[in-house]
Amino acid sequence: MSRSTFSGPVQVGIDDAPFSENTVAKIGPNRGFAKMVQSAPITQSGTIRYPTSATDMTMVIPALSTITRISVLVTTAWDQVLDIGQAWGELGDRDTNDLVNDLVLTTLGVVVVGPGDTDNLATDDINNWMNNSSTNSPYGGDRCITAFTASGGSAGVGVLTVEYSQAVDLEAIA
Amino acid sequence: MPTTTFSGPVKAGGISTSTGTTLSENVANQGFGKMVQVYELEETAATRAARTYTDIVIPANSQITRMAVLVTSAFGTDGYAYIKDSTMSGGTSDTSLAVMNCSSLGLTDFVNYAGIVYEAQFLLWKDTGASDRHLDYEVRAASATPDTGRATLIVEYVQNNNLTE
Repeated sequence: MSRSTFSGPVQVGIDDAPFSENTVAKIGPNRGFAKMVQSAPITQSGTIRYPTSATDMTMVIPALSTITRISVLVTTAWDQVLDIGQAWGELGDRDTNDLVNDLVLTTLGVVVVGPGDTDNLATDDINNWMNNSSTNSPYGGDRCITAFTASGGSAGVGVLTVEYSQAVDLEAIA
Repeated sequence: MPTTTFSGPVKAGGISTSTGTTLSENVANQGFGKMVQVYELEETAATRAARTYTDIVIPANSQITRMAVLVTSAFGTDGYAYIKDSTMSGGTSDTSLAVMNCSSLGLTDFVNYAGIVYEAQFLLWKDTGASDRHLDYEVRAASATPDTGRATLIVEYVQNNNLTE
């Protein structure tokens, strides 16, 4: 199948859209960012489950992106919680719960990460959702998504999906 | 308004091909554009209305990431819409891509199959298969007439993500 490929970020809208501010007519841009998605199959085990090697880094989120949603399609239930983190450099540098801590995947279906899965992150890690490359050096670098289960157990299976807007480049306001 | 149309899939990222193992330098960082199709569901009978085709056609080998309904006129107690395609049976042995609860006003995501065992269909969320899928729906409702439920079905997907592993 053919593909339409861009370096991005992809923005859609027009530059000279008419709008009103209070009662004053103005002209300005109304562009929005395209929402981007990357996914990978994951399975439960007592170690890093994704990626398994530096040559297996298939979920790489461009620098300065805003993460808008993380979910797991659970096709076989897990009996251990899942941490979702980020790696930088050559995979050796990583924070295994940079984005999500102790995600419960015991029910078949689409599990969407919510406040209860992110309110126990390390200090400032929540800012990685706002800007994925804001809390660890190199700042402004690409990040590889990692999936980690602290111990073994049943053979949980799922598809990890990360949705984001590329290179929005927000600064911390917290 | 004019539209910009691509055969797709649409991908974006500054590095298109991995040639090494150093992030930001030589590891591919392209993601897929998330696509959305919507269709208005109508409740036309109290129970087991005939299946109705939507205008939603999902390209082959896509990954469905989200289904939701925005209910603007409630279907009533136990009002459900079963989202299917032509390969899925109806009746008591029916299978579905999702069962959407349309019994009350508001936006509701499809979450899981709790209490409903259609696990084989779940794998279609990961990869819709080698052919395009034309979605239809069947309303199961216990509401009284006039059965005027209305909801907007929202299907979000990644075109030709091809998660076959």
